[in-house]
Amino acid sequence: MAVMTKAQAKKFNEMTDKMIDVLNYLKSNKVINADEQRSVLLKGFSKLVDLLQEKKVINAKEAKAAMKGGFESLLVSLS
Amino acid sequence: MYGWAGQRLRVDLTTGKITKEPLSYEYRRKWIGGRGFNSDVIYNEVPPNLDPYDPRARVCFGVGPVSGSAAPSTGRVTVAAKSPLTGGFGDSNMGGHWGAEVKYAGYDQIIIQGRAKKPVYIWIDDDKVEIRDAGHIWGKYPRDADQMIKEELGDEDIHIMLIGPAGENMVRFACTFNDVWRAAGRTGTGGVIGSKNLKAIATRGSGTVKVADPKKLMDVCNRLRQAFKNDPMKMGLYEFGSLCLINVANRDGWFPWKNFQEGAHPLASNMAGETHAETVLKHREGCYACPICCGRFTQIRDGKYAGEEFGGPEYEHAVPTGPRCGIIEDANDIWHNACLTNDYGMDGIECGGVISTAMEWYEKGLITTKETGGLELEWGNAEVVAKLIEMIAKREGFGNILADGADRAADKLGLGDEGHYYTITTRGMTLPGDDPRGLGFGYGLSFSVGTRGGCDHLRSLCCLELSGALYPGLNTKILGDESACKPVTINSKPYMVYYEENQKAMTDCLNVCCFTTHWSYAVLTPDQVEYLNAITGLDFTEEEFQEVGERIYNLERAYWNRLMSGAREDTVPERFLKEPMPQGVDYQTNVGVTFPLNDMLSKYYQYRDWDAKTGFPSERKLKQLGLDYVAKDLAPMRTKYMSETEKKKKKWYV
Repeated sequence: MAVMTKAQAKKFNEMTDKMIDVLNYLKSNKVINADEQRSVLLKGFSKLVDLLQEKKVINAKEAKAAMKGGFESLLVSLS
Repeated sequence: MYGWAGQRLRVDLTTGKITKEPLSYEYRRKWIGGRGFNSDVIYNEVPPNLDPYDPRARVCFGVGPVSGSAAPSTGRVTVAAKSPLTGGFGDSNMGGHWGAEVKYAGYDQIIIQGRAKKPVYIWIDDDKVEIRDAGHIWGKYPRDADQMIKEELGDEDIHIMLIGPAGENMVRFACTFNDVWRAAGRTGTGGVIGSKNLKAIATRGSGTVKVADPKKLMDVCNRLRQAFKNDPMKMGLYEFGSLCLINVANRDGWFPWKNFQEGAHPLASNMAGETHAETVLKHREGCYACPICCGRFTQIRDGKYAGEEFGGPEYEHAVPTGPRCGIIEDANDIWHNACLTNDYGMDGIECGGVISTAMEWYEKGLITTKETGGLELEWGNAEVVAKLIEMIAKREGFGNILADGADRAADKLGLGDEGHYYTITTRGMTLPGDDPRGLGFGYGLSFSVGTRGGCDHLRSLCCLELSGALYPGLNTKILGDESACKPVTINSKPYMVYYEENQKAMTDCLNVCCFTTHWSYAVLTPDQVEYLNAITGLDFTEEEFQEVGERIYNLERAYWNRLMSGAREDTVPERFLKEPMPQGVDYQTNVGVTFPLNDMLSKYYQYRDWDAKTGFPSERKLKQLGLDYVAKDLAPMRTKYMSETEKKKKKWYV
């Protein structure tokens, strides 16, 4: 499911540290709530992937790719 | 009650009063143990402007709910006090077996306050606690005092916390030991203990740790021990100890040569773990319940120090009074100096740091033999280094000036900003043997914000960049960015430091060895929560557990904030910001690098939800963590910190 534009994804990809910016974006676009954002910050990227898969924002194949390719892969799936 | 003993022991050495205080369920759930308990006591009971050597100051020894259990490496102890070196929050952590013994005796924490009229030691025999005369062991090396106490009490199996002569002389970086060689090195807790006329705490515990679900615990432990069997870092640590890092440090340019003037040297392998194992290793040692056994016992076999033996050294213990002082040709000089800092009871990092700083002052002409009392502080002069170690411990001559730490020494000698440039400190504490231009940008960021006085590898222990490359996929799993495993990149380092700091705080409140959770990554957070719940019978979630780590970190930060330390002091020594790394060996990987702090710090504040201008935790963050009283304490401080008066104060830390 696209929750951001390709241009936005490109912007995130260019950041050297993107976790908090991606989470803030997802929260402000109501993809995740504040508690979920907090949980991801504490637990890490794999929690974000699990959460997005639970919410059907990404599918199982995309989740598997994200766990291999990190944000680079995830942002493609989200855009 | 499962896991915890459920009480702390408080000993007032002024009045002789001994009390046992119950620890409520709410308190244990909020702070868990170890560093959590200690940080809470220091914040609430040691006013920020109190002299650390004042009798009203506290020194705390914390263990955790899993201490003394079968879970891996669960015998450590966190020691905390207001640091006499930095004036801020101070703590350190030691292995050995004393932590488990304290737990078996029936205590989750020991708090010492007051000052005895004459030297004493405390004898804890389960629920019987006595204060005993220590006049006959005052002045003794830890190895001798340990034996004398055991003979006096008629029990070879007791475990003892001790300080050395440096602690008795209140050297500002004196350390604390248990089982003779296992050191809580940093921040000068040994001096606080010495200021109370306390030499030792001898302990015998005949109790046990009640486990809620023994079968579950053993299933987890067996799974983890299997994980350790093939773990790459575990294998390196077992074979060569932390000295296994020497050749890596040299290749990646973080080997501290001549007070960090350079990051590599052609002869570095003289002190590598492999060389140590072939030439001077007598045997390996492990702490309580440890599957790694990284401990070394060294015996020098030839040369002028033949026959000398001691426990250790670690990497961080050996490099400061070795290569940081320009010593590398004869490794026996390095082992001998490490043995001396142990016997006198001093933090090897700080001791080597202040000596190498003095050597650079001498090299640059800022001091001469007039200040040094005739000593010629030439790089590589091992005899002078050994002499200074002794003089510092005894507070004699020039050693008395150095015994207060490099920044105070620079002020006392009137060396001004130029002198301070070479002290290589943040908030008054010197850097460990890890040049951030090589290891690595995450480490360097954590040095700048470390809550026990900056320049501190153990506040975050960013091993995702030290050993991350040995665990393919781990940086992706946690950070979403595999490139972060490279030390010299800023990619994802702010998030890495935030994550690792919280994780390390959790590990410290369980009092588990960080080599199981950071270096080796055989034990991850879900594993820790699993065995914590199996032992305590509680239902911690990963989020709640990690929130405890975040809570501890913010409380310690607030302690510094109350001392007017914040964003302006979040930096690293200028050498790393300004001087490009020179080439020391032709295979060095970080030639030309400087440390890019500014590219990372503001992003790190966002993760922490700290104000960008002051570096104070936001009110929102403190309330989220259940630290409303801390938010109230800090409210008037935020404006004060931004005042022109405060901005003008030059602090290294005062």
